[in-house]
Amino acid sequence: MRFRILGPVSMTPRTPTAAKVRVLLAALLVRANEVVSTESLIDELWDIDPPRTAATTLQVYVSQLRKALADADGPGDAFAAGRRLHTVPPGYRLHVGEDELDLSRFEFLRRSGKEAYERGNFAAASGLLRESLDLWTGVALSGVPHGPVLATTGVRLEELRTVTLEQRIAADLRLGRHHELTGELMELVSRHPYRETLHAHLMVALFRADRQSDALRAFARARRSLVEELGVEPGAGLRKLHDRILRSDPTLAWQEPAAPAGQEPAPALWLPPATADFTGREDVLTVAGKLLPEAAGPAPQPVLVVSGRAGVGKSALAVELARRNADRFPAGQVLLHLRGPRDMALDAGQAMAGLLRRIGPGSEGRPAGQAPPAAAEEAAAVPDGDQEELAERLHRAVQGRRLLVILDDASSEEQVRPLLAALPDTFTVVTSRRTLAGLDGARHLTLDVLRPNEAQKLLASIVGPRLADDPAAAQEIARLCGHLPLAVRVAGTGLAARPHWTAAAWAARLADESAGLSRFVAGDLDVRASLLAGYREVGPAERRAFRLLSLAPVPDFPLWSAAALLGLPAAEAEQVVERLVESQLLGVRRAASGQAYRYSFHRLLRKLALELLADELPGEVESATERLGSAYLGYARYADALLAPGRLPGAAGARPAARAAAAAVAGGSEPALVVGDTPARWFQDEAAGLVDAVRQAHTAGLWRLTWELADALTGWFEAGSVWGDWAATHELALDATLLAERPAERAAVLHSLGDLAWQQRRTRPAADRYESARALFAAAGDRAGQARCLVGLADVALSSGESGHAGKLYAQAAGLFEADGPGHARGQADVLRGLALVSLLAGRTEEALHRFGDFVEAAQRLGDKRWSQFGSRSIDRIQEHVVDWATGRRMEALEVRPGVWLVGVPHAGVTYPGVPQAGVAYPGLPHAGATAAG
Amino acid sequence: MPEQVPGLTLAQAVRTRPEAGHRPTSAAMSASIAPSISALVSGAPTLAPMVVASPPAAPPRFTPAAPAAPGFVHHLVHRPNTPEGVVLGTAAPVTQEFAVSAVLPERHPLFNDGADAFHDLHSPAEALRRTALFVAHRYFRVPQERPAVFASTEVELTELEPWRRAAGPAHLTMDITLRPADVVNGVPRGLECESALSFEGVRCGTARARLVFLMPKVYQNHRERGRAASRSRPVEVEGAEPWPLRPEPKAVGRTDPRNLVLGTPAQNPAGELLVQVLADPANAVFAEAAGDHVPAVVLVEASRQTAFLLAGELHGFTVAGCVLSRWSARFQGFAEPDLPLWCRALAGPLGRAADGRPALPVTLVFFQGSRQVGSVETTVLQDC
Repeated sequence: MRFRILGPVSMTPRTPTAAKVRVLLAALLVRANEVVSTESLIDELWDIDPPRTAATTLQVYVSQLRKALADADGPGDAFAAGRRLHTVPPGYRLHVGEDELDLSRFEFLRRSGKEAYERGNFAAASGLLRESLDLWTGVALSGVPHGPVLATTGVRLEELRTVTLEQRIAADLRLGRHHELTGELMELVSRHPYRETLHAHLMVALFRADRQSDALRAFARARRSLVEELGVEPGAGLRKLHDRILRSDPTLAWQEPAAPAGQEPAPALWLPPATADFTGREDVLTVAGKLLPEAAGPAPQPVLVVSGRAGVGKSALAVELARRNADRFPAGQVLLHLRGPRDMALDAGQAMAGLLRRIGPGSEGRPAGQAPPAAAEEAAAVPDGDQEELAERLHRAVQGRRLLVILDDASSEEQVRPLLAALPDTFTVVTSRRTLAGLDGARHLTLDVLRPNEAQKLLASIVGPRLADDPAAAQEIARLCGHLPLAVRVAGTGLAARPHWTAAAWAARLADESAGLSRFVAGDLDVRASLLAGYREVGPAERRAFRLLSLAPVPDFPLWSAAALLGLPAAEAEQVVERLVESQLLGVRRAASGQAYRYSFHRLLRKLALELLADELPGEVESATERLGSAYLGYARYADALLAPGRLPGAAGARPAARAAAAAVAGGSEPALVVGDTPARWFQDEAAGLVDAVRQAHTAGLWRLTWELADALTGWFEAGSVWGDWAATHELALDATLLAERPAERAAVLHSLGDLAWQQRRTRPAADRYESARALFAAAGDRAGQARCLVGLADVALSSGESGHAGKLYAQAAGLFEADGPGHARGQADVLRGLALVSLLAGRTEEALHRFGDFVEAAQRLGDKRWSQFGSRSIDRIQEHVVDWATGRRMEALEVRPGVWLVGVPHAGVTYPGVPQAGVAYPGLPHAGATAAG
Repeated sequence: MPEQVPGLTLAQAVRTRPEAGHRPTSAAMSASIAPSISALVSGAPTLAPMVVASPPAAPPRFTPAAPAAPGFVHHLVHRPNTPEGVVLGTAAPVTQEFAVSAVLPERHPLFNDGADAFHDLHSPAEALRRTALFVAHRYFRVPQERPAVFASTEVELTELEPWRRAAGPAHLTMDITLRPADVVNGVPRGLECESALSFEGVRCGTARARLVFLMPKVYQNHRERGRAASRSRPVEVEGAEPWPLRPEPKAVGRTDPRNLVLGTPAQNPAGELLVQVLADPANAVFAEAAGDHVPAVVLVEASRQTAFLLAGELHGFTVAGCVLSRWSARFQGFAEPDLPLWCRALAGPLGRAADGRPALPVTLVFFQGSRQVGSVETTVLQDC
């Protein structure tokens, strides 16, 4: 040990002689590997009266200490010279290895001993704790003057030492060392007269050493010192112990842990009836089976935690595991439900009492198939005794017996930890809705819903052969149940009870969204109640989050959308959401590599959350909806500016503002981090959420948000040809602009709907919408808007075989863009594309190549890679077929916009006698002379 | 020894490609023997081969004598599912989504001929065929010199009402999924196509197709073997009675005589019809698709007309109110344009559709000489 502070402060091989340098060393050691500020060190060295040159003097001390450390480490050591003591603003950090400081070693041994004690391994606990105490060489931090930090640290360390000592003595008492302890304890109580735990230990040691009167006198002395010097009576624990000694409570006497040979109790069997139609889970059972100890061997990991959401079948799995492996546990298999009435969690004492009832004498007498009584009922019948005593009795009861214990539906680590400590060598399966990650040394299995085929098999086993007539309906019922075993069981029972209903009709009823979870009740099987139990266990912040997150998009959503819905910074939102995940109220979906995780609801939990949302405070739902929609808007605008630069008017300038807006409502997540540099992928990933956000904004009457969101999606809809969502969102946006009486915004929505109709080759509606939009733009004096509509009309004419007319419309659009001034680079590039196509269809290939060349340059200036690629491949194709185009030979297809092909090109100048061409001569198309807008 | 076509059972080539080598010009003017449908369906031996008393002597019919009619114009859009698909317009040889959108012609010389009560299956079948070919070459980089073979094609109505013609233009949408198969060095040798059909946005049918892209040598061998088999074993004429005349156009669901593609039928006591396929070389629609084989549109039309004729003449259907609710074809070879092409048709038991309308299943077999070109399973629905 190179550094010691558990006693006089020292350093090997040589401790600095100067007191101030030793103080400096001690101050740095108590906060080893942390930065200790200069200010704090000055306080430590000079307290409230530092010299004017304190900072300089400190540097001198630091220099001296560095030298001493370097001398100690030696020239070849890794920590030599300045590398052990670093200058790190705002102070200094001393690097100390794990095994170099006695305090680190003490902490490790103390913690290990405590854990061994909690596991019931008292011999190990005693040894570890004793070793930790042996590290002490005197009063902590002695030999140096104490400033404020060293003084408080010294007190803390002394307290820690005493607590450790108490625990070591407790372990020794459990090991039956009461005779050896009495002397030590007498000395200790005289040194620590107010520590009731030491008095209690002394009383127990004396009592067990058959010195009952001395034990009572020990209590009297303890009481006297407390009353006379502090004016208080001993605490309840000490008084209770005094009473038990007075009445010579036999349970207080120490007993040999091992049961006497030849008195092996009969096997204890307390399992619920077997589930007749237990289905699936073979892989999980195989894995769990491998964790069980062999019939004659020890269990390397005696605790298996099976976690999963309510209704997933944790208890059934644990029981099935016990039944299948009964031969490995000849002393029995016992299940203890850890909940009492109204789903209240039993405390550890109640649970121990219940377990004692099951594994004690007479436990073997319960008839097979009879459900065990609740532990809470039994607990009332258990004689008084504190938890420690119950733990001892339980420990004695299981010692030497090969039992399997199932602790069913645990609420927390705290609830089961004392139980597990009392069952150190008993293989125990703990089921819980929570993952119970805090249970040291336990193996964990997380149970998910059934596989679809397993769920259908379970359903068939409940309903019977008639389900085989309609496998599609069976599949649908299983899906509507989210493949959750409890829900499948309830749905199956419901159908089995109605032989006059078809499976398809039952599926339709289950699918009824308005019915919520009310269909999922059958007798005492109630999915809602089961799911609610998990909800009620979490804190208010998590419950609020659970409700509000039902507004998040399905099937999954990223963290930033949760932050927006909850109105929390991302870090805080993550904590809440992760607690929901831990409580199995929310799931996590692994995303593709490099992407963030996404969260998701089980479909029935989402139904529950939506039901509970009705209880939300007025306005809360609307606010959450607006926050989420605004976040989506910010990110969508950012992504749109990357995908289709210049599409949104002034988008380039608005990008920083959009970024800030999005980040503000989405917990501070920067758009660049959320969207990345592949906007198409982001739009794809978030498509469902974006469309849902438009719907929710419209439902909430947030008209501006509705049309702005729809507008921000237009670039993606056009690039991905996402027709269904395009139509749905823009019809809502159109409605919003109408209700808000915003004709200019209505024009933009109509234009976008015109683009959609054009892509779909619904030529007449396309022309109608462009015309309507153009009229509204004209009324608003928006020349650029009119120009965009003319481009749309020209596209309609072009794909209808009227390329000459299209050329005139493109030219008019170009004039309007020009007249409106700068800022329309995208629109002007689009005109170049149209004119190039006109040239091509007229057989003027050279002109077409020039115009496509101009288009590519314009697209590159815009930064639109999609357009420039389109232009380049158009040039390549023209060059491949120059002769065909120039001679009027009909081409198979022409890419008129990126990814949009006109097939069966109605080529100019080629007619087919007697065969009218499709799609020509639409009366809605304007003529060039009529479109000169002002 | 000729090269074998691995796993290939069909073929209707669609790429226009001049056939190399000698092309026989001796037209076998008589019907060739072909197995009866019952034998084809059940595998039972042919007991009573149908015999045509006076087989019509018709010249080869598929040398175009008129300017080609245009195919119907439509938009084809790629729905890219990757960033590179969006930005670069490229597609990896994995499943890709496309959409076809079209306003159906209102005055098409074939598609709008007849009672014109329902949209024909021709349009979606043709759109699927052209899309699959186009995408194969343009997006999946299948070399142009590899002829494509449609092993199977199927169109099925799931809702009848949207197929009913109304006043004004009709808008057809097809959401198409194309799945490359047997990808070698990044290039697929086959393509599975699936499509959902909608009229005016109402989902009303499905279409499927399976393509195989042949290596040129394999294709040539396949054609040569087919031609040899088509010329073999002329028919011995005896037995079944021919009808007195070619059917009237209205008996096959058309009004324009130029659209009639059937010769004079013959019928046996079991109710089987045998009829030669005779398309008018002056018909611009058929001319448009003509190549070195009988075009797909002729085969579709022939199966439609034969099925309607059978349903109307032998099962009491009113042809003006008939519609094909299912058309499922499997081809084993190409129909040679300069050899007689025959169609044999047999109806199955009359049934009813889910909505109660009479539905007649009809099995058709196309053959040349002793060679079966393909078979079609179709259902004629009686609107009432």
